[in-house]
Amino acid sequence: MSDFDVNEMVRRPGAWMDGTGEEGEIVLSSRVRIARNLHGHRFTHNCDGAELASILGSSLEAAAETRALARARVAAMGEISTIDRQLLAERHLVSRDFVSNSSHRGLIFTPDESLGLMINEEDHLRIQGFAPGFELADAFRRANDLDDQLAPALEFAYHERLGYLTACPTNVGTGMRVSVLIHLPGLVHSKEIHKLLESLRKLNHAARGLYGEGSDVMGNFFQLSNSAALGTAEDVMVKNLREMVVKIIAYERRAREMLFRKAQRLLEDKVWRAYGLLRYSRSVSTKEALSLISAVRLGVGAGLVNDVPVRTLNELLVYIQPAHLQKLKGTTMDAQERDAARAEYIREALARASG
Amino acid sequence: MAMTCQICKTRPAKVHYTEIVNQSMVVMNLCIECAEEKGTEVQKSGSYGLGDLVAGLIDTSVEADAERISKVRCPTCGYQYSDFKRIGRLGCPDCYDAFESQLIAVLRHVHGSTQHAGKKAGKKSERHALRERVAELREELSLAIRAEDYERAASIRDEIRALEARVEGEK
Repeated sequence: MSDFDVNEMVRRPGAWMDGTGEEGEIVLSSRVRIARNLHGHRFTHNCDGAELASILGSSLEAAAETRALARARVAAMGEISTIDRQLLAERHLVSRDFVSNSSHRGLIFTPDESLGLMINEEDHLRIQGFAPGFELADAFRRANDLDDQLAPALEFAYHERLGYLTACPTNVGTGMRVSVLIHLPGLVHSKEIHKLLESLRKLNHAARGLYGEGSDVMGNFFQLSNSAALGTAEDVMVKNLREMVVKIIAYERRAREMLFRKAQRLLEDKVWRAYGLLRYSRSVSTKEALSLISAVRLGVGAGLVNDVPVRTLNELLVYIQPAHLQKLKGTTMDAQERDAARAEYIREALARASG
Repeated sequence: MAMTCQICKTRPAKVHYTEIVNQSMVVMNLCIECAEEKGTEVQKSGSYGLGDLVAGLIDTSVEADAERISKVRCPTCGYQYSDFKRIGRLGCPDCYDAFESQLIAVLRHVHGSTQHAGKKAGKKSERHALRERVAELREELSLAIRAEDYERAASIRDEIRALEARVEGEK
C-alpha cells in the first residue's frame, strides 16, 4: 500500500467512469457497499479518539494483508486538506460525512477506484465495490472478495439470528446495499417517474440524487438501491435489484420512444441546444450543466449525437464538481470563478471528443 | 422579490416545472407542494436525516410503556434506549440484545424480516488463532526464563517453533 496522491487521481478518471459495461448509456455505474463492525468495540459515533485510533490501526493492518488491497492507496483523512477530502467524496470513494468529520478516519482504495474501504464511517468498515455500467455482479464480487479476505484477521460483530451488526438497524443483516446510478430522462419528461419512485418505495427500494444521500435529483440522474438488508441472501439481493433495473430500463426506453414519437422536433431541438450551450457557454452552474449533460446524453442514446462518447459524459459528471475544478486549476475559486472554469472544462472535453 | 407559485398563487415558487404540451414546452414556477401534485420528484435535502426516520418508526410501533422502555440500558456500553431514539444509531453491538424486544418492530418495518439469511461470519481463521497462541506462548516463555525454569522454557520454545511452522503452512 502507498500514500494517496491527489494529483495522480485528478489526472486519471476512475475505471467505473469508462463507459463500458452493459447498458452503459442508461446505467452509468453499479455499486455494492458492505458494512462491518469490529467485535468488542462501540460503534464509531459512540467512540472516543483512543478507541477510534485502535479500530483504525487494526483495520489498516488487516487491509494491508489482503490480496485485493495489496497495491492500494491509503488516505489518512485527518491529515489531508479539506479540498482533497472533498475530491475523494466527489469520486464517491468517501461519504460527505467523511469530509467534515475526518480525524481517525481512513480510506484505502485501489488505483483504478474499483474497490474502496472506509474506516470509521458510520460503521467501522464500509467496503465499496464499483463497476462501470450495469455490472452489479462484478461490483458485488469485488466487495465480497475483500470482505472474505478481511474476515480472517478481524472478528466482526455478528449475531446468530440478526447477522452482521451495524450502527443503524437499517443496515443490520447482510450490511449490504446494492445500487445503480441510472439516467432516466424519458421517465422524468413523461412524468412517469413519480409513479416509479412510489412503487420502488413500496417494494422496499430507495431512490436518491446523483451525489448520494440527501442530495437533490439533478439532471435526471438517480441512485436506486435496496433498502432492506436483513432476511435475504446477498446474491439474491443482487439478483432482485438486477431484475428491477432490467424492468426500469425497459420502461425508460419505452418512455423515450414515445417522447420522440410525440415530440421529435422539440426533443431534437432540446438535445442540440444543450450541446450548443455546453460547447460554447462561458459560465455554467452545476445544476444547469447537469441538465444540459442529461439532454446530450439522451441525444447520444437516441443516436442523434455521435461524436460524444459515453465515457466523456460520465467523466463530466465527476469533473465539473467544485473540488475537481479547483484541483485541475491548482487554485481555490469562488462560485463565479468555478462556473467559468466549469464551462471551460466542458468546452475542452467536448472539443477533444469531437476532434 | 420572491415569485409565487403559478398554481396556488400563495406559496413561494421553488421549482421550475417543465411540461410538453402539443410540441411546445411550457415552463411553470411552482411551489414544492403543487410540483409534487404534478408528479415531480422533489427531494428535501438536509433536515430529514435517517435518525428522524428511524426514531419516527419507533414512536409509532412502541407507544405503551414508553417511559420505562426509554430507560432500558445496554449493560456493555451504558447506552439508553432513549439515546437510540434521539440519535437513530445504537451504541455498540451488544445494544441489539439489550434492546431486542423494542428493535424487533423496527426491523420488521424496515426489512420485512427479523432473521438473517445471508453470509455467516466464520470464526477467526486457523492462522489467526495460531498466531494468537504463539503470542501467548512467548509471554509464558519469558515468564519461564525469568523464573529460571529452563526445562519448561525449552519445551515452550519447541512448541512455538512447531506452531510457527504451521502458520507458514497456512499461508
